[in-house]
Amino acid sequence: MNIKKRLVNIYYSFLRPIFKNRRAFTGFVILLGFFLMATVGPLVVPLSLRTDWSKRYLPPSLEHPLGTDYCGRDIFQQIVHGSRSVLLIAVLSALFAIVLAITVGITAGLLGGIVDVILSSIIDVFLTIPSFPVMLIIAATLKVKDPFSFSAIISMWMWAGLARSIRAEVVSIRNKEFIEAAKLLDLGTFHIVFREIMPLVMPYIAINFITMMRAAITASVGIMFLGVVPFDITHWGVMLNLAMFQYGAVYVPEGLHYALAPLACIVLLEYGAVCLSHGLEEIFNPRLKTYE
Amino acid sequence: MLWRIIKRIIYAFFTIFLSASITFFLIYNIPGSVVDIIAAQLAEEMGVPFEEAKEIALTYYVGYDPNKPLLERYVEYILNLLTGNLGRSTIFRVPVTEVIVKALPWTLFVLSTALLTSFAIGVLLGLIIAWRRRTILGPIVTAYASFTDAMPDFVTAMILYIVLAVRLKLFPMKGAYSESLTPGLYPDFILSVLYHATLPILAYVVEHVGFWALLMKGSAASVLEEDFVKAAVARGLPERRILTAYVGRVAILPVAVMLAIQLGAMLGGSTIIETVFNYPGIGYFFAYATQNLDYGLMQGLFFVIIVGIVVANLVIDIIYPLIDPRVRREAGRL
Amino acid sequence: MEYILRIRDLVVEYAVREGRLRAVNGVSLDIPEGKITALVGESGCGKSSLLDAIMRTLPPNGYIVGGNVYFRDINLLKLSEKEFRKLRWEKIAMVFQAAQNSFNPVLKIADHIVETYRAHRGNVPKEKVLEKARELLEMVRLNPDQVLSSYPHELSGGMKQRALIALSLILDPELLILDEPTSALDVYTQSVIIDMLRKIHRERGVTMFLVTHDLPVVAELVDYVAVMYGGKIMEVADVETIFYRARHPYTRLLIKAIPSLIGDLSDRRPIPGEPPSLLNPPSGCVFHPRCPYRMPICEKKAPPMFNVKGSKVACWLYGEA
Repeated sequence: MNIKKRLVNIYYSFLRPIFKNRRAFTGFVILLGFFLMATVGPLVVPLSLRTDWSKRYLPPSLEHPLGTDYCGRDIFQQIVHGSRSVLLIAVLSALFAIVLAITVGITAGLLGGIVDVILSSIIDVFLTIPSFPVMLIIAATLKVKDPFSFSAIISMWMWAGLARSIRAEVVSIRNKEFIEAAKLLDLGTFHIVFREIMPLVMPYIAINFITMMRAAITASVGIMFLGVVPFDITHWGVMLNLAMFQYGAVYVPEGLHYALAPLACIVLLEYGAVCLSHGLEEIFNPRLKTYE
Repeated sequence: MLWRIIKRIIYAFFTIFLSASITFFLIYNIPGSVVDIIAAQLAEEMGVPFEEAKEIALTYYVGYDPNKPLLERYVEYILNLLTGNLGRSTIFRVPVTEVIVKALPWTLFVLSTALLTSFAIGVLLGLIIAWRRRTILGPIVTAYASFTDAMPDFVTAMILYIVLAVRLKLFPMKGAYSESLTPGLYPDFILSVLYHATLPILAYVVEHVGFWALLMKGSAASVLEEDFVKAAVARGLPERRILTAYVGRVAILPVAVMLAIQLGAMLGGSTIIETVFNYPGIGYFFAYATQNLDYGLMQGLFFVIIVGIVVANLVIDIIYPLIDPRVRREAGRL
Repeated sequence: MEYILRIRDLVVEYAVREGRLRAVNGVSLDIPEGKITALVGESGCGKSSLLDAIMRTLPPNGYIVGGNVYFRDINLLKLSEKEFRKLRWEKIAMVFQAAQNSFNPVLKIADHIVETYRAHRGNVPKEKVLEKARELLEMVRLNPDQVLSSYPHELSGGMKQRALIALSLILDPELLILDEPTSALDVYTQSVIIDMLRKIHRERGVTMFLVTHDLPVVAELVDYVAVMYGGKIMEVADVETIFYRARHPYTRLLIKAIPSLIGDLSDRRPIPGEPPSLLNPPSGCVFHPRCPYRMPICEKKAPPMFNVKGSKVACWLYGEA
């Protein structure tokens, strides 16, 4: 009973507004499409990595919807299987980053004092260090071989911004609540803070989740594009790397689609994420300006 | 006021120090396999026994002596950095500083040109669409900005490269200048440099101009609502004056702050972009180092990149109050 | 009597999320030349919108939906932007509220004055403009060298207000509009400003149109008073009549609500009720919901301006439908 009510609640507070807002809906549909491709796709579409040099760089056809790559393998299959890798890393990174951000942000905001000072300094440092070079260096030296550690590395350089905002939010609420609820036990205040903060902050976290997913996609594709962590050959970043650098597909007239396919998917996926996050922003922060 | 600057500088040092330390602990515990490879090569080249070659490799080509305790190595490393010794490239067998001297000018050239160009164009566009609210320019720029925002920068770079360099052969596919020329301050060379730099600069500008435009539009839109703009109109000042001295001057300030941050982002992104265009800048070599596990070069270039970004942020932090008279007053109290 | 500014049936609306907000609802007003006229009313009655309409500085969502404004014989609303710009400041100048940030924060006061002068009179040498500026600044009792080289944030509220007055006079306008010249200032500065305005009026003969909610200032300074409420003019009369023989119920309640240093505070009465919504104004007379003298007709029909012994009153108590 409780679950059913919760689901209905979720529908009305989250899903319905998304369906109504054009941008959010577009993004939602695109992302949903890719998620399906990532979860169901590999089950439906087989992956045949047999090389057949007679079939190099075939253009898109019914048999090979996106054509073939440098050694005759079907591109569409690779894209579908690669989507799983891409999205898994994206989701994991965003998840880790959010958990980290919430933990650090709330702790710093609630405890204050020296703990806050230390944590805030750490946040600031993580914010200043440019993410891509450091991710690259860590990925290269630690020889990452699985999506979990890779996601962990990516998430390390994404959590800082959100942590800072959460901390600020907690601090402002803490100041209000403490004044009024001075008599409550510490446990009580914790609960109030959680029950007050979380609902307010949830939409913001949801938006950040999508933004982080997008950043993680860019980062993971970028790193793999440079050939640094090639643990999954179907990952779109690796496909690009092979297309561009290893086999010079871009220099061969027929090989263009090999590079374009993953490129197009990356752009589409990121565009979907951007649409959804902007749409959600519009929904949850109704514009105060009424005339435009 | 002075205290504020000192605080910022200390902070910057701390950040650099921390990054360098991270690098140290990551890299100076290099897996033996790499060292072995170098040692084997050296052994063959110099005709010395493997063990000796390994020592030489470690000391000269990787940059440290594994026999010394960790703490001592760490201190030595920090001291080295402070004196400008950034280690050696294990692949190229030269000091990192040599690579930097060759590569940094190109990166700086491309980045600063790209940054200033995209800033100038973007800010102008942003100002125009904020002021003239009913042109079609507004939606066009906004749509363009959203689109380029969604595309990661290397995608833009790749597309430009494939279309303009490879397919249409309008621009060169590698290098900072034509190989047939020797560097010097003569017109042919300068032209060649510009020609080779066009695509990387274009990639940055195409990618980022929308960002500046939207940022400036937002800033200008809020300035337009300010009383002093209304007062300026009431005083009968010509439109051009209001746009430049009133809206422009005031709106650009918060946007200009982003210059340092953008430079940081661009420096980080230069890794991929320079690789795509085969442009021999810091980013290109940094990517090369990571791809080929040239640890010496990796840590050296990483250090340079970090220092560049931190310094850029520091400069803007210090300069901004001097530019904005309103902040000057408060900054004096901080 | 010559009228320097004649406003006829002016209607100003704003497009807001909830619909159209009518801030000025058919205002007709004549400003006599050479005198000081005040427009009084509570905040939100439409005074600022009226000024914005005259100066044509309405925000993008503001529209002049009807009516005309005549400066002598010229219809201001029909002029092109370029033509109107010539009138701005040369003929009609405005003194803004000191509380607002009416100065550009990145420019010095001197720059403001010089650029304004040059915008209208061409490329005059800076020194000439500053000479005149110094004269005006001394007249408003400011230290010219100090103020000219200052940035706006370096001046106090009172100093800014006086600088704004000096700036407004730089081209010797014929009509000076003042928007709440005494708000957000301490009582002493207020009296200084009032003295100054009186002096300027006496020595230069500038017509002044003063918009304020501060009745005591009105009593001290002006010749004529117009009372505005809910986007409409309720009463227009000379200052003595307004204060001693006010006719419109709203005016009477306003006068009664002013606290004073003499007299009993218990005599003071706030006006019951709330200001009207400008989105959905009341039917008929806009004041009728709060009027102690309301009659059935007040709810049905809005009263026109009736002439009563030299004053004008928009109230059914003074005329027939």
